[in-house]
Amino acid sequence: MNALLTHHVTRIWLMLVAATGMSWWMGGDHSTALSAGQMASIVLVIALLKVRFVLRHFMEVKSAGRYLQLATDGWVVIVAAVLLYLYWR
Amino acid sequence: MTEQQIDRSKAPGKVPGELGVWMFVLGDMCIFALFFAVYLFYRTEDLDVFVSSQQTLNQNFGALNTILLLFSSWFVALAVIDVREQTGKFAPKLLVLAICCGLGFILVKFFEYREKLQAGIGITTNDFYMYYYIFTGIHFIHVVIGLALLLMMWSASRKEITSENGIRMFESAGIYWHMVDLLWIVLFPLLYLIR
Repeated sequence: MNALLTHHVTRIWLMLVAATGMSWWMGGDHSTALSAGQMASIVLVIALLKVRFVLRHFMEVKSAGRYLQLATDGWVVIVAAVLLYLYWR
Repeated sequence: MTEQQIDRSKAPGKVPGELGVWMFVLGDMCIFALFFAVYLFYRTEDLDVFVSSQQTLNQNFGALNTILLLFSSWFVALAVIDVREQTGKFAPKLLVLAICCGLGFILVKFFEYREKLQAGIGITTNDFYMYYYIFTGIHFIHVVIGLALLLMMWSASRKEITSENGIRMFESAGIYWHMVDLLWIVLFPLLYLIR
């Protein structure tokens, strides 16, 4: 079991949980120096980065062919750009 | 083909799972990308209604479900590694844990929907709730299908998987479940967090 628990996907998972906690905290009504728009942008970027980690490490795109890497990275970049544009327009 | 001859490696350049599953997953991700864009487009058109309605959602339910799906994805990822690399037959136990997390997601959603419906908030209340019910509802269907696949993975993992095709099918079901997690990772901030 140790071989599984020390596998790199466990470190990725811990990072994803920490990022979720951070987004949750930022999305709450905590007074910070950041505006609602800045918060929303950070939370959306964190979400899309989390998606990329799930794709690359859990779905093993990292070691898959170049086309799959391009397709999934393309999805992440396009979705991030479109969502940020639509939020700020 | 004997077990020794089966290619269990995760060689660079080798697409995990079946190619057809990836076509489906990428297509589904594109459909959801359209959902996300449509939601933000109409949110900007009617910002006050969307923001005030959004504040009625229970962020704790959304965050708890995000964590549950992250746990289940981790268990599934470890189960796939266990089956492929034969690290010690932990896959059935890991998949039971993943299934429990998936059932937990459904339970939380049940309480969340009930809370809203009891407050008289339905799909026709306003545009925000229409998108909320439709998008989370479609995602909910994905979770139910994913749970059926996890059950199949669990059943398969109880016996030794002795063919490359069996391993590919196992990986494919795992990929579908990770997609369910991935879509929720974007839905959660869009519906619950951004102001």
